[in-house]
Amino acid sequence: MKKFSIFMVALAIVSGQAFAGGHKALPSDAADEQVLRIATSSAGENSFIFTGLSGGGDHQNWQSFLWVPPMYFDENKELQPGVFNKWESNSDFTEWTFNIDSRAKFSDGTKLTAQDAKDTWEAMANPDSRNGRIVGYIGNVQGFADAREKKTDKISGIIAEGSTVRVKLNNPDPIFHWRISTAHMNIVKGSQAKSGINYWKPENNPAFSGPYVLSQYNPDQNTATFTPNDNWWMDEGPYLEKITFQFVNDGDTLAAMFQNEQIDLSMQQPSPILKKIMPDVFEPAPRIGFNSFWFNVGAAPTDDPMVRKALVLAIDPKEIYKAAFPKSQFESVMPRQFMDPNLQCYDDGIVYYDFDPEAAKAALKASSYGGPENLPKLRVTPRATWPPLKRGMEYAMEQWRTVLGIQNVEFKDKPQNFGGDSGKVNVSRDDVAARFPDPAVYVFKGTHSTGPIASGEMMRAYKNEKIDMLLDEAMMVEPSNPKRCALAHEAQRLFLNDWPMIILGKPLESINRRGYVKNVYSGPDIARHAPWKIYIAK
Amino acid sequence: MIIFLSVRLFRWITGLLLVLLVSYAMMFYGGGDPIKQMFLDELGNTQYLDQKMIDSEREKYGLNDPFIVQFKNYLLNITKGDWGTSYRAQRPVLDMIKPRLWISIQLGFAATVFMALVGIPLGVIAALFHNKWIDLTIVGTIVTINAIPVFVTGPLLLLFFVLIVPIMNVPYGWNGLFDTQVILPIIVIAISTLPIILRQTRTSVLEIKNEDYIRTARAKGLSENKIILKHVLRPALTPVITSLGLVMITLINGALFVELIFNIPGFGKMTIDAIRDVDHPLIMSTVLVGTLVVMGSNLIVDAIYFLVDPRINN
Amino acid sequence: MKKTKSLTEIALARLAKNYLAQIGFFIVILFLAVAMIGPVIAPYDFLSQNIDRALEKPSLDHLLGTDPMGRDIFSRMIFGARTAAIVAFTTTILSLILGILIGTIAGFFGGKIDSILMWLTDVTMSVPGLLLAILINASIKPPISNFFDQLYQSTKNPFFLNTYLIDFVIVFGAIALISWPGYARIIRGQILSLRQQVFVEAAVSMGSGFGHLIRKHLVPNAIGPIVVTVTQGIGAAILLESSLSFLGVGVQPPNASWGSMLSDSLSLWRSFPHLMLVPAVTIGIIQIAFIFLGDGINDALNPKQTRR
Repeated sequence: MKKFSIFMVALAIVSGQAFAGGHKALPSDAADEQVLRIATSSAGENSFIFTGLSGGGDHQNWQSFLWVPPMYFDENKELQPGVFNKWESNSDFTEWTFNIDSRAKFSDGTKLTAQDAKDTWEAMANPDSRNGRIVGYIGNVQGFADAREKKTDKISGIIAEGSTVRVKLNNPDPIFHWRISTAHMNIVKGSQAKSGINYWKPENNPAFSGPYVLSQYNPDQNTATFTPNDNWWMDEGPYLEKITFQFVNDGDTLAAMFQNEQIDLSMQQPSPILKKIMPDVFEPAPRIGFNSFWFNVGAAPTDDPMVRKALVLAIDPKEIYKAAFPKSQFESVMPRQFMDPNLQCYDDGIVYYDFDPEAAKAALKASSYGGPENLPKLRVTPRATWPPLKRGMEYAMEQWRTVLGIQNVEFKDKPQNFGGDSGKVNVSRDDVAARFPDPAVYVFKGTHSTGPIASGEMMRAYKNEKIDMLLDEAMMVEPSNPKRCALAHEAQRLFLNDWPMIILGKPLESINRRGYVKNVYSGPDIARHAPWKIYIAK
Repeated sequence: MIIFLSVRLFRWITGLLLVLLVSYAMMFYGGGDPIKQMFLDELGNTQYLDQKMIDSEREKYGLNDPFIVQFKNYLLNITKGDWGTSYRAQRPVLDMIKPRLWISIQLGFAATVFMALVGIPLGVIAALFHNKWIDLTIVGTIVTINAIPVFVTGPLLLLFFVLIVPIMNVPYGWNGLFDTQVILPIIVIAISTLPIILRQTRTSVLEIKNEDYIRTARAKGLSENKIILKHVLRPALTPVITSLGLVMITLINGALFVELIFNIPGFGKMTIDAIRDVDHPLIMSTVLVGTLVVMGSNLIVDAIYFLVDPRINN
Repeated sequence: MKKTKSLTEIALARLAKNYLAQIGFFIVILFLAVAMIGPVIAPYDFLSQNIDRALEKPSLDHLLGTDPMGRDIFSRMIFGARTAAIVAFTTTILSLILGILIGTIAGFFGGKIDSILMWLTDVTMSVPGLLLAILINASIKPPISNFFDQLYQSTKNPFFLNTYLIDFVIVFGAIALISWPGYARIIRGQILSLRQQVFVEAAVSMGSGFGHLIRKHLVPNAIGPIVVTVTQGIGAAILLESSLSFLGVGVQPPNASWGSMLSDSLSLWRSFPHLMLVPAVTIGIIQIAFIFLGDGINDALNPKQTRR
């Protein structure tokens, strides 16, 4: 018996609230008490926030509890209706029409309208909402650029007509409906979306369209509570009486909380030891994308492709992967190419390269520096303190030392520790993630000159005209057409020929939950989808 | 008295300005780009920034101004009581600091009291039995425990008391000072500075025990207990109190690891997050508060100094 | 005790009787020896990896087992001794010199100089140290390491290749810059109380010189507390290095330090306890050794306790 009950005080705050209305009959194996305890971590306790507009971060991933997304991909990577129950496009994919489910309404009882969708997306486009990902979702919509530059607060290409939302695109996009099928595009009540960044706090009476509402929020204690939405509009659920959130930072502490039955569900990965003790906590989740070390093509010496080739070939892909993710700690898939195995048209016959120390030495010799002696300093960073990433980098540094004789390497765990030199960092780590299973978009994000990797801090202005052309063409081809696949593969081939990166890999991500928490689903979008189905079994 | 206080105040204000200027300069020139930091997730992955968004945010926070202008604005706002808004949490910094600082002060104070109550008596006992086995056991045990970093002892103790000898749950959050879950964190914090007090007490008692006037007192036939209470303890406590002040500062500012392991929403954790996020208003406020805490503690130490050892007066 | 015995002889005689101090002394000597000749006695190169033999338990091949990269932990510990020694001594000696200088000036001259120096002491003490270390790491280190890089590019002297040195000099130099007030206060306090004591006044009135005063009265009185503080400081510096490594600011790969070995093992300690135990126990032993030694020297040197 435990002497102290930690949660009593925290729960007492909200326990006065009776469980009323909208309560559906529980599944037959449900437990008497339906309370779910979630641990969450994020980019730091200072970002324990639940705004639905900023698109990103750990907490965004719980927002499917508060708002129903437009549509979502389920655990089998199939598209399911959300707030939008019908979607269609014209024949050349330049205009899309979405129909709002007639039942959809907010927790304050008002109907969810097309105008709400328009207002929300316009608010997201405004840079003040700090939504960095929105360009990847609706950047192709007519008038988006003007709204992004704050020339206007309206997006002309989004037209609200009663219960339908019509979207006009600049360029044809046969998968535009996939792009908005994420919890990052949740539709918030329009008047609130435009009323400022703090609209979602309980004191401002926010309206939610999801199965639960945010009823208590304490940013100083880092706790929050969700309770059922009295005006829930779908047929199923919600079954839980209450969801409590705690902010837990340390992986070992989190594992101890799981073992001690203080926590039922978490997004953050607990310490790997838990996998040995309580394997039932881990259930694989089909995420797309993995970590890689990218070369900065804008700074010496990695602007020289031969140097990049030497640095890549000196790394044994099997060993760097083993060093980062030891078998006893992680279950994982070893990547041998840029594309992720969870994507359609993945071809495991493609191999980026094999370990070849002799070729690596030859490449360094053939580079403009002629050998390790004249090579300028390499600045490297895993950009995080997570040990696997650091180990991967340490392995690479040691290989460069022993195979190539390169010793002039400076390591920092974060790019800002290079101070004013952070633009000269030669090797840094990031992942390419995709929220829907489309290989062309995935390759686009990683290789196209306007994508986040090529244009951003990883490669700093990588541009290959041929790749851009291939992908621009691929974007307009239907996913069912094998040509889309072929174009993506060709772009990947060209990209890998430029020696842009060292692939590190990624452990299999999992849904971390106790076995008695049922119906926790996760698809390619990181958010838990269909949270209204979750219940606690006996 | 008034002159003393105003001189003191002048010293404080000039000192504070110097600390703020140096910190601001280092943060400004070496802290990294706060706007980029704002959009990193927990693995340091970028969140697809576009230049328009960076420009918009930089403009909003006045980050394009030169250093002097920014620092001047910062000082002006501080005098108006506006400590700024956290870039990351989007809340007024003052609202964030108050509850966290209060928690840290309570923790630090409780740990100091615990430490003094345990450390001083143990130090006296150790000194009285100088080089006997009691002395060696006390000093040895405390020093050994202390010699291991807090971020090692913390998780070990936590796991031990939660899973192996299950007498408690994993502490979470802050339910006030009089909740049983703070016991373990307080002990862990106190352990980190216990040896300083213990050794300080032991050393000064040893010194004073051999002073001439004590031997005179002994020669006069005063009982050993009386000598210790009356003549040894009081002067011996003076240096102890000095270090007590230093220790309290360490505890309030430095309970970081304990806050991390025991999920306590305190000041140290916020400081580290602020630095990591390059959250300028928050960093400056933690520097400001940290400096004020230290200065305040020094004042209290000085006051107690006067009371305990009248010799200092002249 | 005979009056003819010098202070040093008395101290040595007392030290010879203190077994704990002797144990401490031997451990410290061993530590310093390992730090100096480390690479010669290490069975493996502390950097060489063997991924196929990662995370092994201690065996005859690898006395303390291997880490996740298959590196020999024993060899890494030996290299880490060098790191720890440099960290501890850089920080302590730098701050000691500063502290003695400032404390002496403040104590002897008094008045305005004293009050300005004490103001500086107060200000320095109120700077949050961890914050300073993190910020200095980002603001001052890059230009200096670039300067070293340029020196290397022009001279090709491998000495300038070593970012290791910069890590220490800058980060731990910065810590020294803010940790001198402790020493300064002790020295100043000793001088102040000395000035008030009767025998000093008598000595001054009898015409003994400044140097004589320091040698005869200040040094014997101040050395005890200073030795204690220095030994504490050395232990604290080794601990601080591990805290900084925990926060990712300390010694950077490819170099090894006990602190970084410890913080790297934190995510694995429940599966592979030896990864954490080895550095944690070593740090503990070294700290205790310094403390025993310091206490022993203090007891031995303290003239008040000597002349019964």
